[in-house]
Amino acid sequence: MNRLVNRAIEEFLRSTYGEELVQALEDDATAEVRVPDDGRMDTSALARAAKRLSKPFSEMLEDMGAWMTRIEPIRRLLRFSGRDFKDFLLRMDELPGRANLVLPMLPVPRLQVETSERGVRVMIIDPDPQLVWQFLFVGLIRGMADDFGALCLITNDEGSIRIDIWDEQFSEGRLFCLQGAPALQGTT
Amino acid sequence: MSMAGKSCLVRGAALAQLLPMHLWLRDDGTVISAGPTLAKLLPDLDAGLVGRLSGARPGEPADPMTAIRGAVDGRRRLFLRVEPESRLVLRGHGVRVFDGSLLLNLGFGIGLHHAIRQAGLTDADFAPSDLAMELLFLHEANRGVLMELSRFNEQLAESRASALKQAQTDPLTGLGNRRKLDLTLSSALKPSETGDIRPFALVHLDLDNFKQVNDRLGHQAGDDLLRAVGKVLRDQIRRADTATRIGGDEFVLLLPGMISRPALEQLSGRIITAINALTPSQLSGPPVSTSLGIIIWPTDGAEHPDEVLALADEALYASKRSGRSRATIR
Repeated sequence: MNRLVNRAIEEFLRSTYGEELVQALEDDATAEVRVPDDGRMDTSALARAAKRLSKPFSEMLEDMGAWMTRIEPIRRLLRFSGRDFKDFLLRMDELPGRANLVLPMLPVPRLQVETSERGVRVMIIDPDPQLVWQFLFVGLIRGMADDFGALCLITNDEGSIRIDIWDEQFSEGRLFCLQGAPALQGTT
Repeated sequence: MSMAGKSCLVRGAALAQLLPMHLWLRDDGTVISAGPTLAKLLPDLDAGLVGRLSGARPGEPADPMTAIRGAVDGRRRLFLRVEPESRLVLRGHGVRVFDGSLLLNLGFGIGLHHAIRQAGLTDADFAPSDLAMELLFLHEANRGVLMELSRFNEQLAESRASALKQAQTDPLTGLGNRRKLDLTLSSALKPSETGDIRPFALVHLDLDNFKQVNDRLGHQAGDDLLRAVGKVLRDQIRRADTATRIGGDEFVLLLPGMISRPALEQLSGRIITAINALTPSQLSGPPVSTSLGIIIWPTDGAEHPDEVLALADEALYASKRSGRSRATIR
């Protein structure tokens, strides 16, 4: 599982910051003792990148979440999970189950969704000590709002994310049809 | 419009909402109503079933109404091929409702992708209870993960190949090591696929006066000399031959198909001359050289790698005893 996680991190860093950073991080990593795979998600590569770039880790996670929505195969999987932005948010509680259908070991925390007058609140039920998932989800929601063409305000609260939707059809959004490309495009 | 006609329309609208893939027929095949998704796939179904649907159960008649009546009355699953696109087979079941009319509920099964492509279906075309979206999700997710995994597999295979090569290589000279010799020799001793014995020559050589280089000029000079010998041997052998360093200053060459004594004598002469020339200029005393022990296999009483190597070793010591810097061929 962590190989896939690491590859995603690597691709994110490569496409956002270039090959040089990825190489530098690889050199750092070989000098370091590897943490055994104990079922936890290994985001250390992203943390090292944040350190090198002097960016907050949370910002890196958020950017990576948004980046994922721009990777066509991942975007398609996310679009399968809701017919519009509101539907996507309301069904975010299915997201851990969907993720685990594909990667049973991925420790996605359970989510609970509540509606408020203006929008939706997504609560992270399982402990997420470093807020890794929370920031990743913020980026993911931000990216999907763009994808659906919705205008919204995303606020980070303690253990939950509040999404106030101002306009569901603010812009055109991106095209989605069930029939995908014949072969998956590369992830870069 | 009669009351009955009206109630049919109402029922049809409700049915369309609930069952987007339904087909409601009179016993004579007249379409009473068809679900909107089915209508997308077969827009002119009202004109009649023949030529648009056909029975797809092997061994049963292709006439659609015969297939439908048979399945409904026999309480069997119904399989209908969409014509003329013959790859898409709908499946479903049906019941008799009032007036003997037939109500069918159909689905796509594993042909979902064909249907989506053919009719340009969207999320809205499937009932919420339909697992179509989940099937598509899983299909694409699996494809993505499989692609990543096969990538990892390729990387692993590459790493394995390079680790294997490293494990059989002597890092100092770049020749094969003892493990490489064992593997190559074992396989050389096996008969070919057609059962033929494959002769070869095995050359065991070690350097003469190498110890002086190490002792007087230091280990760096000794290593340089070994590397140079490695290059000499590599240059002298053919592509199919194997050169290995199996210890300090001991080398073994395996030369498949080489059974000519004159050729082996010439080869030995070239190697001795080339290694003589490697003598460091600072070295006083006798020059560096090499003694060779060569056996041509098959030879009596040597079937195992160890026996073959022992014979070559004996030949090498015969060379040493008779004055060094020469080859003994047995």
